[in-house]
Amino acid sequence: MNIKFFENATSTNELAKEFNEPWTVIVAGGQTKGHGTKGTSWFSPKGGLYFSVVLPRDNLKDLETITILGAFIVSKIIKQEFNLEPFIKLPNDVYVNNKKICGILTENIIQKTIKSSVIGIGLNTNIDEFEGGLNATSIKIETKKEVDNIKILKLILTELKKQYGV
Amino acid sequence: MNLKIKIKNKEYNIEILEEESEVKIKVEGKEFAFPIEGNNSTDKFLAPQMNLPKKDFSIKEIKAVMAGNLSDIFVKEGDTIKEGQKLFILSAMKMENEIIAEMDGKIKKILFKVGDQIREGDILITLV
Repeated sequence: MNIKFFENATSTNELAKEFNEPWTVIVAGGQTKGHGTKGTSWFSPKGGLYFSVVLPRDNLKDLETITILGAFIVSKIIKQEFNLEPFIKLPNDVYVNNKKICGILTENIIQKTIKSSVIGIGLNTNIDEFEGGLNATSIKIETKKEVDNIKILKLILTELKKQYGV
Repeated sequence: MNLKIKIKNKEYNIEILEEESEVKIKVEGKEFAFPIEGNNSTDKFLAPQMNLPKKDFSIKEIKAVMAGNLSDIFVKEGDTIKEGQKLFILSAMKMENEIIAEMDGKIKKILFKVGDQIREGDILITLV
């Protein structure tokens, strides 16, 4: 798996769209233009885990499923590693204690058929506080412990690849 | 009756046959038949007079390959676009789908606006 680390990025999804090779992973320490659906911004200060994966070309129905699976994978890992009780707001958000902890955005480029697909995951890991008005939390806020971002990244990627049978 | 006519320096052999209910005209062996006026026989060979469906093949269309909500438009009518240029974002199931141009062209008409619900197969824009 080809993992590219960036100290800072505009948006990992935007960077990932530049790559054609499936399973290329773009990881950023922070994002200046992290976003969710319909242009909503995703608060991405340093400390969080922000990454995007170039997916193998697939049909749209299966890509809808992979977005939902992404939310299930993150929830499973949050539960398993930190003993938190996540719930999924289908299809693409994960909450802990009624506060958003993770958002997933799958983006496709279509020119008659799918040219490329990327799944972007923003997980609030080591974030101490959120901008006013954001109904969000982080693993660190919930557990009072520092999170090993690389370990969590590897766990998520392994599970994601498992879904594709690779 | 046999004729020879010349059109743009090319000679054509024409044979005209009058039968009971129709007149047959053979051009280089290809047969066209016309009913004799007042005769109610079938006009199945009236191909030269048929109205063909009207379609302007010079107009190109870009259709939606999927259903979704049109959440962003990056071009406007009159724009000249290049193959691969980003045109729209169609959102569905919280997935964002960037629709890019299949061909070069000039946008004649954009048939939807931001916020519209698009069905698979809808014509999104026409190009000239």
